[in-house]
Amino acid sequence: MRRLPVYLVLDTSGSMSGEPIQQVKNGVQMLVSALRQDPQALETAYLSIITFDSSAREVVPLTDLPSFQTPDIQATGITSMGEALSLVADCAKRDVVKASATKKADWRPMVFLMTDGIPTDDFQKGLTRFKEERWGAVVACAVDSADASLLQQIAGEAVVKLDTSDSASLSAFFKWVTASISTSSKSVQTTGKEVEGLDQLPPPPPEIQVVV
Amino acid sequence: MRSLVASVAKTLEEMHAQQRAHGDIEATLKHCLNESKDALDGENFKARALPTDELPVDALQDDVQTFVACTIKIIRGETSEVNASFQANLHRGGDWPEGFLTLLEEASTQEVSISDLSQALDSNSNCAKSAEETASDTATTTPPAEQIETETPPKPLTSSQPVVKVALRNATVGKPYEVEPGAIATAIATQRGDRPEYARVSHLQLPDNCGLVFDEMTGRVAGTPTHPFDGVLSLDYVPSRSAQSIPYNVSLLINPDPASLWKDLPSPTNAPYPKEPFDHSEETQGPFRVVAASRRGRSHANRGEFRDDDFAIGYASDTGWLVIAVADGAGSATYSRAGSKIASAAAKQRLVTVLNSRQHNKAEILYSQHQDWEHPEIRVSLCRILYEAALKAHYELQSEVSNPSDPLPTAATLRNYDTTLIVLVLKKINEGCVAATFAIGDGGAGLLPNPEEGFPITRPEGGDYAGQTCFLTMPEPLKDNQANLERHFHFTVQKEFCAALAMTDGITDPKFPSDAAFADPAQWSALWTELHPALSSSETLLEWMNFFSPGNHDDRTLVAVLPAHATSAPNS
Repeated sequence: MRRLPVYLVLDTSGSMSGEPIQQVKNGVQMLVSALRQDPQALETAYLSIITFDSSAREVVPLTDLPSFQTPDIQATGITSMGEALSLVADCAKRDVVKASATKKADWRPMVFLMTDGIPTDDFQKGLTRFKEERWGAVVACAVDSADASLLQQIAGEAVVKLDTSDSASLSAFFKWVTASISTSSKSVQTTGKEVEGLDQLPPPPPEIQVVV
Repeated sequence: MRSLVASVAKTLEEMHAQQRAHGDIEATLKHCLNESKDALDGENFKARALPTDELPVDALQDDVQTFVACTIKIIRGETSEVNASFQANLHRGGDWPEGFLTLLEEASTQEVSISDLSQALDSNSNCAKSAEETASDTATTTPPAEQIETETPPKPLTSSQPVVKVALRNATVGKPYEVEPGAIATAIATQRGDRPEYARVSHLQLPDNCGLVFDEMTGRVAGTPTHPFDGVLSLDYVPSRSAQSIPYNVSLLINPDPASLWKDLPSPTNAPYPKEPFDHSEETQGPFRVVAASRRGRSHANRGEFRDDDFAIGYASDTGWLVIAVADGAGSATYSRAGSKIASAAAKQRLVTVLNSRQHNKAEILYSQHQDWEHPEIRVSLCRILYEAALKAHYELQSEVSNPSDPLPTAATLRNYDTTLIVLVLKKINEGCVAATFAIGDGGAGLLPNPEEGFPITRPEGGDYAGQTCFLTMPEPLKDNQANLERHFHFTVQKEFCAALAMTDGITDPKFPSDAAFADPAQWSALWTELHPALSSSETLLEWMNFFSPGNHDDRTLVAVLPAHATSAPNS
């Protein structure tokens, strides 16, 4: 079966602690619950969670939605975004099935990266590694003080901004990510067409600004 | 606590009377201290005894000392070593029988027997017991432990338990599920730091009638879930063989059956190019019996969209050539349902006309000259005939763009009619057949000379990543050069004929999950075994095509060509 790999790359640095990290956790929970109600996403989308603080970790490896269990995430430390970019690239290289005589290829992986900070490590190194892999839609979300122009180097035009890391906007972001995964699952299943840019995703809700 | 001590004392007394060895009193009672509750009783204690050994008489007094010291710890709520100067705090035991406390005091200075202690405990145990029960049953009542020792209060019963987060592996309705024996207890024990080999779960509260059963003996959860569920389950965890159980929660998710999530919404009634969600036909043409069906995929039914697949069947009766066309309109193209219909009908029509004409059917002309269907020129001539039919279908779509057969709200483009096209022509020769295909896009056709083996008669298409296919509406697949034609054309002559199948990718994707599978004769034979019983009528074929395969919910079209004499009854 052709899978749609989805990588959620989440900033869990100290500045996210408290309400924001709880909202992120709720957001992931909500995202998984909602996608489980969508028969196409349920079968097609595979979800991985990568977090980064003082280091980057693959908290949940690529997992089908029926088996997915929301991890416990804590916010602490600094912002190793470069390492996270390298890690997600390594994971995709390892996970994503390419077409062969015996296997059909996966769909190109989607990446949703969320951060509220400025990288504290070698960002360029991670970015270079990230660009070596072939991605479907890559969306970066800048929360509060995050550097949107830096994120544009990762996601091109697909950079969105949340004004505050309060519950309403974070929840809106995760709802939108959910809708985007649903749309993409539908697109690949019914038309075989992969979603590549922001314009092919559902319009972001008012809480989210698109950085142009 | 008192009932525990009394019970242990009673047991000790019995065992002393029989001079039988028993389990370690201190360990037993310490265990009770640590667990804070009266999980151990005399029976339990007795069960740990070593019935064959005889206890030396001089050990009896040691037992009493140990018992006394441990009991004092219980009364004082201590878990540390015995403090010799216990008397000061002794009377804070409150509900303990006065005679028993006196004996405990005396135990440090004179000999007391275990039977004395046991009797003293029994003296007013009824009132003591009821007082204890009242205390522990009522949350607002101060527990007796606090009355005993205020400086070093004993561990509270619940709040001191380590935080444990355990989630059972997710289940799915209709799929057999198992949590291996002991796995839950092991998970909790690991988080608490208990020894997993002694831990067990004595009770797990599963949702009513959920299809899962918890085996209290082994700790195994097994069954096939019947209803979705997402929540927490309460359980009783027993950290070690003789300990008191501790309540915990574990979470469990039971996914709905994926098949139950799909909706079956009607297609729009006022859109251009309406198409029924199902189509099927069954006909006998010359030496052939043709059973065909096409059904809307779940992905389209779920959103109330049209079926995009189509098929067409024709027969050149003068020359005996059967013509099959199947087409799969691209989901991304607005009017692909019309594209597949127009393309399959146009190609079929063209082929029937050409193949039926003794003048234009060059293959027949060549055969009459060479008397050999495997003559290379026949192959070339059929390639040309089929290519021109595909080209004709392409032009038919172009003319539909400039002159739509159904009024459209806005002008359409050729790519609005994106469709694949597979044409298959077949002629019976003796017991065998000549077959040729021309295919643009995914889906595929195959031939089974006999039920045991089959092979593809179209080439698989595949890009590096999934989802790259070509359409009849694109210029590249129709380029008139040898290399391109070879890519799309296939020709074969077989001495036997069992069946030919032409399918859209709604069938080939689930039934041939890889290019290697598509090329595997055994896979074709397996498909035939599965399909053959369904070919008794086109209705049964349509029903068979409703099979559920995760991730494969596209429209499905299958045209099966059988010898006209073939029986279609299930053979096994």
